[in-house]
Amino acid sequence: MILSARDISVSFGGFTAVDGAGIDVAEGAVVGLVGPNGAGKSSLFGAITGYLPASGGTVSLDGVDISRLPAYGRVRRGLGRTFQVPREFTHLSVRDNLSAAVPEQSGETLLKLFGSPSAVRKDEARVRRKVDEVLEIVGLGHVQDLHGGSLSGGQRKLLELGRVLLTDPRVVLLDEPFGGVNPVMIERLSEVIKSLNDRGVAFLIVEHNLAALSRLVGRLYVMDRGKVIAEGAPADVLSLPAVQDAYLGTVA
Amino acid sequence: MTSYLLAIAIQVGILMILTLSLSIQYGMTGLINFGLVAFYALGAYASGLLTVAGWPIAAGIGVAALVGSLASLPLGFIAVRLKAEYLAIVTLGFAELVRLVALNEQWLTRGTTGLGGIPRPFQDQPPIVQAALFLAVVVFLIVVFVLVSRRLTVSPYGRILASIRDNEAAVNAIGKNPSRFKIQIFAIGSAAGAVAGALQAHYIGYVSPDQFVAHVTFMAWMAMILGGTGRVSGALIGAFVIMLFFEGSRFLRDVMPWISEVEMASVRLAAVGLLLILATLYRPQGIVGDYSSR
Repeated sequence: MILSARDISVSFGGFTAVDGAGIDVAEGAVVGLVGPNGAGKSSLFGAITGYLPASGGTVSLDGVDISRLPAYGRVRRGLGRTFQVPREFTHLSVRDNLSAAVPEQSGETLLKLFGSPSAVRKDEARVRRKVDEVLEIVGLGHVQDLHGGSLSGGQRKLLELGRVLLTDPRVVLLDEPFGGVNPVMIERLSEVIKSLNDRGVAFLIVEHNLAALSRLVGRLYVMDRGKVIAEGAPADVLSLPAVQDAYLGTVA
Repeated sequence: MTSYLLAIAIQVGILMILTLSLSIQYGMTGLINFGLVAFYALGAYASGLLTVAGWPIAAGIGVAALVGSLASLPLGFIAVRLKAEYLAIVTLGFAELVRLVALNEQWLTRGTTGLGGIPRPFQDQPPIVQAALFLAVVVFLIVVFVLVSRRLTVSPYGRILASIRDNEAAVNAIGKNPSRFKIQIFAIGSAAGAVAGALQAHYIGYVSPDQFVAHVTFMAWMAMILGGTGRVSGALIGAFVIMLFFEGSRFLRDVMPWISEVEMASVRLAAVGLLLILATLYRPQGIVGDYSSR
């Protein structure tokens, strides 16, 4: 398993948002996570990525326990994420948004910044090349000089995807990648996700658009009231009575 | 007249360095330092004490920068991870702490008596030349901090600083630790504040706790806001305009001969306050505009 979350619990005051949920993502797999609003999907996401403190459970990445690492530390180990509402750097150009994400830059340490300008310059060439590659993959080359804040909703999702890609992830958690995105852009995003998956990147995707999600994922987890209530192939899982109940409320 | 202008120019220059200190901290990463005067005081005492003990002035100023940045580290580690408001409160408290230590640790600072006999550079020169050379040193240090500011902003490092200003949560998501950058920036800005204090000590030749009140901090804040937050040129122009007004308000005396000296000091502050209110009303982004128009 590339990503394995076990017995995760997240509480807000007295309210338990995630109650002992577990999820596995195999190397190179694309896994979906669905459930009604308030099921605890986003909280589970937060706990796995280190954005929310988990009150219990462990997260391991490729067999290594990363539960105690801060969010940025998990990203460096290869656990990428995007946000439900894209968080691009609004005042930075698209190119700079991407450049910032390149790991291990000489020009980001004070010592090299002031001590070795030539090393910084050389490293910037490396950064440019990496960003060029990713601009190609996400297809944002034509808007590379625009501010992040001036992009359309779908372009922002692509930009975030590109940014995550630059951190060299082994597995990426996507939080509602198709939310508020038009059908053409959903198609485009799906293609990018597939092409990244072909390169070996695994995905865990929270999404309400079940049709679009089913075309991507091989396995599906369903959450309700903080617990995982079903898992398996999408078609099988979605036809389970318990899942339908969770989504539609108890049908008479 | 020349010596008066030189004296004012030196004060403008020192305020410019202080304002650059804030501009680095607040303008680059949004760190709110309401205790800038603490670092100014630490720099003044550090360089003052060392040079009185026989160290060369340049070494004193260098150590002042070091002391300023080292003193910022514990505050940075405590408060930088928290919301910006906490650092504001912590630094405000720290400024009071430094002032009280200066007041009470007589063995070190000579308390209210103050520390006198701090050497002034170029003392063998005639007064005008001495002041001109001192001004040259101040200008040189301004240039140094301007270049440092530029390097910090126009670089891969600056890319992360801009990202932090935009969205800190997303900075974590690209695998960078925002706290590391903020603590470093806080330390660099604090070093600038300490250097300003050291310069003031060597200019006046004397330091005492009553020089290190909140007023100093807020002159720099006013200068930064007036000039344009987060821009080097804004800090420089703001400091110049504030000092121009503050010194210019001296001539209010001529039109208001009936008020006392004590009242006059308050009237001058009120004049600067009025300027700031008008500036925020009519030019909220500052004279040169803030970082978003950079």
